[in-house]
Amino acid sequence: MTRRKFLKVWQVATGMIVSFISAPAIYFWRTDRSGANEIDDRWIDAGRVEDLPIDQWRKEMLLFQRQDRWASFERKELIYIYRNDQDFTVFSAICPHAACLIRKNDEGFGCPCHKSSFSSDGNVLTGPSPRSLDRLDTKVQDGRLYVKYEKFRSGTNAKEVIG
Amino acid sequence: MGPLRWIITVSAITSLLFLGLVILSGWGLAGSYVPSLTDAFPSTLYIEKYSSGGHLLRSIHYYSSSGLVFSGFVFLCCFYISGFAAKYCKIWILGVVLYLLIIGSAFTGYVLPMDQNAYWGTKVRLGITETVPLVGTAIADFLRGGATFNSSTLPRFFTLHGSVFATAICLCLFILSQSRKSVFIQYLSDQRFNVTLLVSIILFFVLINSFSARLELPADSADIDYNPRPEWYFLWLFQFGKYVEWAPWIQSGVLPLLGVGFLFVVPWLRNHGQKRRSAIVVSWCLVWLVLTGLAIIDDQDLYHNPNYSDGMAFGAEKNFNRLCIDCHGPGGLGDGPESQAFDLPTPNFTSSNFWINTDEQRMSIIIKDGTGNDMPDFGGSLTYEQILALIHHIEKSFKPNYQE
Repeated sequence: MTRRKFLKVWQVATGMIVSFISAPAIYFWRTDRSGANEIDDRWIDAGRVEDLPIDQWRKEMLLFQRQDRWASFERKELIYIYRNDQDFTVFSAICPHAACLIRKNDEGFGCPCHKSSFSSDGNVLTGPSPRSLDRLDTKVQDGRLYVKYEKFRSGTNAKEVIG
Repeated sequence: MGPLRWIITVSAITSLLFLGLVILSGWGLAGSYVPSLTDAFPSTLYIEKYSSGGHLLRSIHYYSSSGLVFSGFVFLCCFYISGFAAKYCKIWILGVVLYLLIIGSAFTGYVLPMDQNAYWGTKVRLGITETVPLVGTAIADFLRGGATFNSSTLPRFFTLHGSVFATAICLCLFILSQSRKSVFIQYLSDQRFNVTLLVSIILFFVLINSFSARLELPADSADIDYNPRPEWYFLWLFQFGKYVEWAPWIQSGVLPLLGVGFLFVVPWLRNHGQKRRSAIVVSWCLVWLVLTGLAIIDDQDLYHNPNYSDGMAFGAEKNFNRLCIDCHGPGGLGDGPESQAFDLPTPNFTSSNFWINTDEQRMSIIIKDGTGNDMPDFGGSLTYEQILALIHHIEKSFKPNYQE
């Protein structure tokens, strides 16, 4: 084998070694991802039912711990609650379009970022939002309201749980 | 040598200078920065406020990177107008790759301080990334390590910013230096040029010391009123996005693809002369100016986000009215309703006697731990920084003859 030929082969070989080493790094980044976590209790205490005013929208902040990989974090999430005697409508305050926080207004809800507006039922009135507001499941236990807090992917027609 | 060639060389050397400053100050900052959701902001605040020289390092890092984006842009424009892009195809392609890597570093570095602006700005950017057709969601999830902000997000952005992109930039520079160094050496051996360079570096340091890199309040994912704004060089894209809200893929997919595609095929566009090349650059600059101007005009009557110290001072005023006013009274006289109802021995902040045996350290201990009898402890509800801001607020509002 000539010197030149050896160097050519060696060049190709190092290139292959480097790409083989980068493959597991990229694979690790692709597959190691957080999502809906099995360990967490998704039902979050939203306070006593009798403290909630009837026939009125209310902005509530949910405070809870969620586990993500090695760490547990304090999470702060906004929701809107409407109480109709014993029926509850709860919307996540995260806009389904681009994940900005929606605000209550006279006709229902509005998003300040891209001017989507929603009726009080959560349906899209105007603007670019691809789906209606994300409704959260509720249950009442021992006189307290529990909300199943989930996050959904923004910008899609389907409600995909992401955390 | 024509003026164009002169600008090309000067902007290339200035870019190298800024790049060196960015890398060196970045090494310094990385010495105390912790890329984790809980520690990113406190460590940044430590660097900015409590470490010696950290403030200057942050300023250098922040303004040099801005300067790099600008000088790199000037270099690319002049290199293109002069027709060198077609002549020195390899330098041009490497320059474009370098510039894209610099933009990538700016994108990933933005989130690292984890203040309000960093958090919300990056959320918006990743939201825009998600709207890229076909691959957007996969790219955003790859960068975040999941579909939401999570434990791996900051380590990933930090790795890309300080390691992957930085290594790639150095690699590009190495290849560039192999291909053509005569022009640089010609200038670097000119004494007048070296003196000018040295004077500019000193001026830059003097100037930078009086400007500080922005730091806002820590990120709050439930702050409904926050309006994030991008850096000056991304304002045009931000403004453009407002006009194509109905089709965000134009902003995130079509426009970048056209722009980057154009930069990469430039060396093979041989049939247009210098006049047309200048016209393209000038019209692009005009579009940039108009969009940036419109973005600034649109923002004029918007709520302006406070920096860290103003935000803390505002929060301290609110905390005083929420926690202290019932006993200490609105005027700090110790005559609040609670104090009067129970006849408590609440001190008078406006008397100079009170301040004779009290300093900031003693006050911070009392606010944190209470006095054991009437004054409650607030160590559980207020952070150390909030207590300091509260003391500052009390001093500013009530202490006789107080000077900052």
